[in-house]
Amino acid sequence: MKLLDRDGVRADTFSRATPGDRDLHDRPIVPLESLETQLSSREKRHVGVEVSNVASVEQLAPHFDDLALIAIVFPAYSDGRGFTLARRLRNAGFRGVLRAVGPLIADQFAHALACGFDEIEAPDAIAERQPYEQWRRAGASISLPYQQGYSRANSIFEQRRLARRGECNA
Amino acid sequence: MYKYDRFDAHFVRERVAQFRDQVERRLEGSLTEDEFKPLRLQNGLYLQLHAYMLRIAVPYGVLSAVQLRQLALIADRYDRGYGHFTTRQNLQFNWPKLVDVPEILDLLADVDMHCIQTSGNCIRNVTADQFAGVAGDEIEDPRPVAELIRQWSSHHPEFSFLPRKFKVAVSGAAHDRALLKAHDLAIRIVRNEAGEAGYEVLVGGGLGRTPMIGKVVRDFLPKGELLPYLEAVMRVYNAEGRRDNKYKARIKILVHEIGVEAFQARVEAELRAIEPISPVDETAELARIAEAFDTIDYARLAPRSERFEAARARDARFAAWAQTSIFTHRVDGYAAVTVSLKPVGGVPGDMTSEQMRLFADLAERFSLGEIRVTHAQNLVLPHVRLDDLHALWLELADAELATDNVGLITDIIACPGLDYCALATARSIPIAQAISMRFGDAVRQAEIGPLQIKISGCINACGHHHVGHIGILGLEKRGQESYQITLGGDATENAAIGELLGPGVTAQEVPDAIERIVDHYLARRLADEPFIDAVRRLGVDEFRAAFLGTQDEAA
Amino acid sequence: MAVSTKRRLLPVILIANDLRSGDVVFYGDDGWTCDLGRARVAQDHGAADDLEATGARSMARQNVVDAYLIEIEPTTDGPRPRHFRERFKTTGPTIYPHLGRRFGAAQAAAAGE
Ligand code: HEM
Ligand code: SF4
Repeated sequence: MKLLDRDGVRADTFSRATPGDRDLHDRPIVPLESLETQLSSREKRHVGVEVSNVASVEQLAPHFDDLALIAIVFPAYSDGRGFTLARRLRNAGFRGVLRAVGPLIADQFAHALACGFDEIEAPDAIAERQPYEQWRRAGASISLPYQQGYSRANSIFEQRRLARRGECNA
Repeated sequence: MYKYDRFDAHFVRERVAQFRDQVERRLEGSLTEDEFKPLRLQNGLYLQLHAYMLRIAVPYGVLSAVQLRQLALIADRYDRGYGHFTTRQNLQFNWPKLVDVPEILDLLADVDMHCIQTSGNCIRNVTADQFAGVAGDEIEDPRPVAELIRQWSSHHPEFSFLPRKFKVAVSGAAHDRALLKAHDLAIRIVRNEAGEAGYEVLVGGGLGRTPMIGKVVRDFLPKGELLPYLEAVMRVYNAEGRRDNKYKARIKILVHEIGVEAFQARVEAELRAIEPISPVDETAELARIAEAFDTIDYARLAPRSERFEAARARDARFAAWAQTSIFTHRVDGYAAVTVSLKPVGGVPGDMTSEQMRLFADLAERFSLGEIRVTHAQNLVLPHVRLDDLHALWLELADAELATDNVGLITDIIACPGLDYCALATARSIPIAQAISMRFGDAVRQAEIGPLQIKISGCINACGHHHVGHIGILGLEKRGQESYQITLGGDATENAAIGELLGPGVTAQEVPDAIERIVDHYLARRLADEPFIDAVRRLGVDEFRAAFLGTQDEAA
Repeated sequence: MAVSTKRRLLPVILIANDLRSGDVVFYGDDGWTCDLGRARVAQDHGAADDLEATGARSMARQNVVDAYLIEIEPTTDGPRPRHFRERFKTTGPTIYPHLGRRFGAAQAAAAGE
């Protein structure tokens, strides 16, 4: 697995902890089932949780302030549910790190970032076939999207609105 | 017509560059075919039986003469000299090479066109009433809303990997000419009791394997609140639409399984979770877009044209053509003219590059440079002066484009079927041709009156067979092409799914079977009773007997 | 459209579309060809499996897409696909006979290939 974000390939400061795991993880990513116990026994803001793309906001919202990271699993690149879950979590106020885990492809980098993800944990095979340069290029391929209200502040609709108000005509 | 502003133009160019990069990465192996497929589909590129196929978006069916000329150029330079207009108001080229597609997209971008989201599991190109802005029965022109949705849905970060395709249609008229109820989502511009215009939203229609009629989920959505509402619908569908079975993945199945009320409740809950106010100033955007459609300089003309009336009285062929082809324009002295792409025995919806160029010239001379594509695979010249109709007809006749069969039995909708399509189970075009030959006589067609035959080459129903007055579905039976015939479908505001008449028949038997049905209708109809009304009055069973040949009069 | 080993009726040939052009191609003794007459005919299951493996390799190397075996019957004019779908696929749209394989051949001739 390789971890990619806006700046490039990064070392992962988190590690996976399984329920019966006795190793001490500094910054564990735990399954949803063991989240409560982990949170009670650790410093806040050091714990991440991994959820499937059908998890609900209601399950996670009570822990938003304690969680450092939420990792959402994409079972296949063609399964776009993770994008909606990320968006729902951001809408509900989650400010921690959002990670997409699974076989996303470089061409989805822009989608993931816009929906609120910060980083992608991609399988080695994909990361090797599609070096970071491809992710960077694909991520930047549409410099000004239409949609307003997604993570990038600027949009075509917003530019037009500003132009109407005579504020900016970049 | 809508003209791209610099943002639209820049976006489309970036999209071309993005696709060029994707093609290069496919060729050098960074992208596997599995990874590339959804990317090429989202750019309208299919792999068919014999070659790739490129589907070009004609947003809400509006096309300019300049654009049609560019399509002709592409047909000659990169394809085999013709294109195919489809039931979703698009144009398909059947022979492009993958390596040429980026160049084709550049040529399209030169004339404000693209292939964005004409396929794939995303929000597809928006369709509309082909008489938008022209029809007298219109509350409001639906094109600005359609254009707003086109922009909002383009390269959407959240809704580009949906469970399945998502098709949207818009109409502003009392009569449904856009097949609203067969769409995943449809918007009808309506007025509330206070007289304000707003949107009625229908969800969950669709044809394919499990045909369903769309249901109203909001009877009045105030203007200015459309995009958040669409976002909420899409979010519910993206999260909950089925992904375990591709045949159950359309929104119609979700709505059907959880029920309309539950679906509505989820959408409303989702709406509460997001900013209730549109992040986009929709009113200002709609006004900006509408300006582009309002620039038409109509002449002040009398409602009645003596020249037209005289020509009609003088020339019976012209009168027959005018009878089927003319649609009343809201502006005095003008007509919208439907031009049939269904020559008797021809391929429905096909047009050669030569015809495209000629047609572009005619659009400029007679229709203020504007053209519309209809879901029945015909073209429309939307703004023709009544005074010019006869001159136009003569020119169309020279180009073999004056077939007087619009709305009649030989105005057949047919999908590409097994002549092109990799998913097909049987051919559909040769069936259309055979029926067209059988009923080609102009007098006989006029005698039969309005009758819609729709043919699909497999259960996916691209040819809309479910909603044909007579529907034909091509299947494979014991190693042979076999055709099921349905009766009583309706594609208008009275949308209905046709009923199966009996066991499949062979290709050779289809024209006879249709003839038995038609003869039964002719024998049993009341004066001036259209086919579909007679079917409703008499019931399908009577026609089934005629179809099966178990009735004396059918012998 | 792939045929499972148990079900497949021999002989078979390997058909695909060229990745770059989309043209229908067949696997022959000298590699991929547009000429059905030069397709390698597998008479036994071993040879058919080899062809299938060749198809998979060719797809992995970005040469072709949608490679699969089709059942044929040998005729004096060369292999004839048993299923009508594959017959259409090898000849072109039945509605435009002039736009089928002959169009490609004519184009190639015009280009002096
Ligand atoms: C030639 C290649 C084509 C392919 C591979 C193809 C594929 C499909 C598939 C798989 C469906 C079923 C979708 C579903 O049920 O979820 C479908 C439906 C449809 N297609 Fe096509 N299609 C093709 C061409 C066309 C053409 C030429 C037209 C227009 C004439 C068209 C218009 C439609 C329409 C109107 C539907 C029904 C909409 C619905 O399912 O609600 N397609 N197509
Ligand atoms: S109905 Fe079937 S055969 Fe016809 S175009 Fe659609 S997928 Fe192909």
